Amino acid sequence: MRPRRRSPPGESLFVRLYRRLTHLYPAAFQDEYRSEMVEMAKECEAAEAPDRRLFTRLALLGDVLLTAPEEHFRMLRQDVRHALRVLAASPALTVPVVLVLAIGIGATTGVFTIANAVLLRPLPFAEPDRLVLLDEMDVKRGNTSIGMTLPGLRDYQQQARTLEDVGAYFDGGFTLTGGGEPERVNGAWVSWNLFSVLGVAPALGRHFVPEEDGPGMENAVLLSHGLWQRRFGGERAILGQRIEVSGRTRTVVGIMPPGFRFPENGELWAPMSLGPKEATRTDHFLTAIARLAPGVSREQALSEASRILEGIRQQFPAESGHLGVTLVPLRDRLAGEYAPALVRLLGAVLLLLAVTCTTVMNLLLARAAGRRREFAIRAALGANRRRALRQLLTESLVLGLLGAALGLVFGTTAVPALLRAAPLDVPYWIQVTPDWRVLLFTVAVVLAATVAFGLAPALHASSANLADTLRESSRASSGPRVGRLRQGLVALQLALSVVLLVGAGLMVRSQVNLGRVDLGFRAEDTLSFSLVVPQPRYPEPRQRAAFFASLMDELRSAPGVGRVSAVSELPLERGGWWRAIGVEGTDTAPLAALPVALHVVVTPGYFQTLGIPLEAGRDFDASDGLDRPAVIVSRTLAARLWPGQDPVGRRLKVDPFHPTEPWRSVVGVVSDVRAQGPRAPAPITVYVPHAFDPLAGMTVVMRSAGTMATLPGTARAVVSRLDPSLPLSEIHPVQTLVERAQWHFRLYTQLFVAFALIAVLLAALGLAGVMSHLVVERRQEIGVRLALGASPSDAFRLILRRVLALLGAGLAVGVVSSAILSRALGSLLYGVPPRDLLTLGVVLGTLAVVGLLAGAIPARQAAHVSPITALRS
Amino acid sequence: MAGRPLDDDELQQMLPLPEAVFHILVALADHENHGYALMQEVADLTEGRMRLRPGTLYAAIQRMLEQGLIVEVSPRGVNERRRTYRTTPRGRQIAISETERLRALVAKARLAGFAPRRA
Repeated sequence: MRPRRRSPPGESLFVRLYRRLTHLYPAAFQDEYRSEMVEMAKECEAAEAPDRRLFTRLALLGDVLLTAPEEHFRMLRQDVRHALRVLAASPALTVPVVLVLAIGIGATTGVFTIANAVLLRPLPFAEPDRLVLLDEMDVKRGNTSIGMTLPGLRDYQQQARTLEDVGAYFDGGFTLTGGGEPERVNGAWVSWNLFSVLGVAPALGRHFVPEEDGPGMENAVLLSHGLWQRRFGGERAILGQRIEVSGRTRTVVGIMPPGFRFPENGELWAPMSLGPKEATRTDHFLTAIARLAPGVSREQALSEASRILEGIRQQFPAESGHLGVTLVPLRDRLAGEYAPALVRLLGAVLLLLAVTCTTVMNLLLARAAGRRREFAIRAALGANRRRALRQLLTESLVLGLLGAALGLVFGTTAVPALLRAAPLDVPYWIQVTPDWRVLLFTVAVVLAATVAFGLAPALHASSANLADTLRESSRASSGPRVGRLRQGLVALQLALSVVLLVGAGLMVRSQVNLGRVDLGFRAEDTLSFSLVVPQPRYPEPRQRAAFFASLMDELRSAPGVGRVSAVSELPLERGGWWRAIGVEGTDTAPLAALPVALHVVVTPGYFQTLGIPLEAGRDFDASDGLDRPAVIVSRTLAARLWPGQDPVGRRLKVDPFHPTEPWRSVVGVVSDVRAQGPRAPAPITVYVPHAFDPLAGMTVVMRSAGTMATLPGTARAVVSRLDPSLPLSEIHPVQTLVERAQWHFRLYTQLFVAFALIAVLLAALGLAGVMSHLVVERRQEIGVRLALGASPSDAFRLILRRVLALLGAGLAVGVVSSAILSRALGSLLYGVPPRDLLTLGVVLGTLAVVGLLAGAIPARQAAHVSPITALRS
Repeated sequence: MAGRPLDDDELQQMLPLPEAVFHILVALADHENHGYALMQEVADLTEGRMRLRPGTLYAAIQRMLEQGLIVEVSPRGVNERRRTYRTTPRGRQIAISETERLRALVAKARLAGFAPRRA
């Protein structure tokens, strides 16, 4: 006989096409009806008159295309209904499976929701992909990003053809007075075009116009939707009205759309209105955002920007010789600090998902053994195997969907709760509400998980033939192959647990190390608040200095208050002012050669208040004023400027290029402070007395002499006595800053630990479960051994040997995998290498103990097997 | 499947019958038939207005088999490869109910003045 051909020779193109299309039907339907349908189609075609044949052919093909999906859908409905019945009938399996899946899918979706919000979701600007941060960097200091100068901004605005437009801003805080309590709100000083660069239009009113951005034209203001609702009752009449902002009358020209709170949580924006005083080529205080011209790549724009900078460098070699320029996608800059940890967390949660899938697969395999009989009988009665397979996979899918539904509830409630618990305001552009990406991701996870945990059990259950099954069932066994598979799964779970636990251990050790880092100041028992005196009402520097001096005195004499002082920026607060330092005796070197130090303004007593040790010389006192310029330097700055010499009495200039800058005498040296967090080295710092540089806005620090609880009330009362129109803002213990600096990492560590513990728990349960099953399967054998004189402890050892083998295999694979994977944690770790033997040892010890405890349960079962009942069964 | 007759509630739940199902039941009323012949017979019954294409036909047949409205009978003759079908008592029962439902509907329509004009 010749081999049968798929399509007989001489068959028309139409029939061949029709035959192909019938493959769209479900397999079972095809098996039943396909050949008859093809025959019928042939007859229909042949019966038609030639002129109607085309129509008939199309109708026949269309019929297949319409009915095939219907059949699939109908079958799915049947299978889902059947699956729900089957699952409802066995809650002992369904409930744990759904819970385990909910943990795996919920945690994965939860982490993805955050990662999506930070890394994937488009920023809330028009065509955000075209927005870049235009930043200058200090080539001499390892390409540190330093921001943009005002003249630089103008140069790029005027010369760049590849940039559609460039806007800029710098952070600012504002005081609202008049009509209610004085209030401090965050915001920014913006170039008039910034919001049109971002592509965000006001919901009411208009943007700023160029005229409002000139020096001395400081009279316009834009409000956030939230501020408008909260403070101005959402009245449209506010447009064009004058309000008092930081002691100056400004006209409200527009309300920004709801939710817009640029740059992080701003509520009010005013034009920068900068004049020639700020137009120096050394003050890099602006953040510039550019929009790429349509069709221009970042590389093209960067090469043009580099050419523009080259021109600037040639024209101003002293001020700009050390500069470089970069264009960073805005998203990368915003997400930069979160991205590395989020990606690793996503990796960890996927490992957890793998553990949960393995657990579910193990449970389903155990049940598949019991269902082989059902499917074998159905197969013997002529049921289609593919149909059975499909039905079993549908069951898995239903389980996956139930788990996902529960997991989504858990994920969508846990994530916002986690963020609410954060000790800081999450930037407004991070929106953790689920969107289509989260939905799509969840669906993909469910489908992948369903195949991962459902396919092998389904193949196993549906593969049975009746004779085998009847033979197997007499021994209540699932067959040696499946037994080995289940043991392999447990070993895999153990291995994944090792990886997760090692990761968690490394994170915990880093956390401990970070906690031990001496930040260089004592944050305990101190409260801080910010206070800004409006310049228009305190125009003279002397007035501002006098106000803060009397505030310090009044606060100090209040009950329950210890030391009090004020500082321009506390350590760990964002921001800071970096300035070049020139030393007397060295020729005025180009700017690039000068050290750049953090410039901190303090009132006398600051170092004592915050517990920063004075290492040489003296603290500032009332005599350090405009007529006697004094500075205190940090230890590292002193060592850098005058290595091996006594710095006290030496003189330096802050910003030596400034024509009116005087020489200042070093009066003291203080210890270094890790102002940028425990991971970064302590910045070199120059401290300047407030009497010399009387800033309008300062952070006041009060050390408690009794209880912290009374300090905020005391502070409010004293300030209000001195000037009732001044609002206090950001009132919190200084310790909060320390917590904020650690918050991300602590959260990641906690999640890591939680994932690892769940994985270990599931692995232990899996080990106990599979071994118990083994004991049940081998009861007869154990019974025979016992009857032949083996002792119960022999039986105990028999099972324990298996446990040890599994444990050994799992841990060995885990050690190798974690050696490879933990390197990925690299930059997150602190003071601990990725391959830390101590961590590994503790993890292996813990897992060995947990594994042995879990394995002891089935081993004891084996020891308690009664030979008589075992042999009789 | 084809077993016990349906009670009234079950019958009402299945009505109205899909048009294809009703026509197949009518075409199988007094004799068994195979797929292609069924298609032709339905076309004749409806004067060519309803053409059951193979996909629609076999989807309906599969559903009717599951619901026990028809059964498959072994092919007659060695050369006949095609499967033939006949109605079950349940199939007849439901066809009668559908006929009754349509009759009542037509009666109501006539009362409402929708009687066709005589030529």
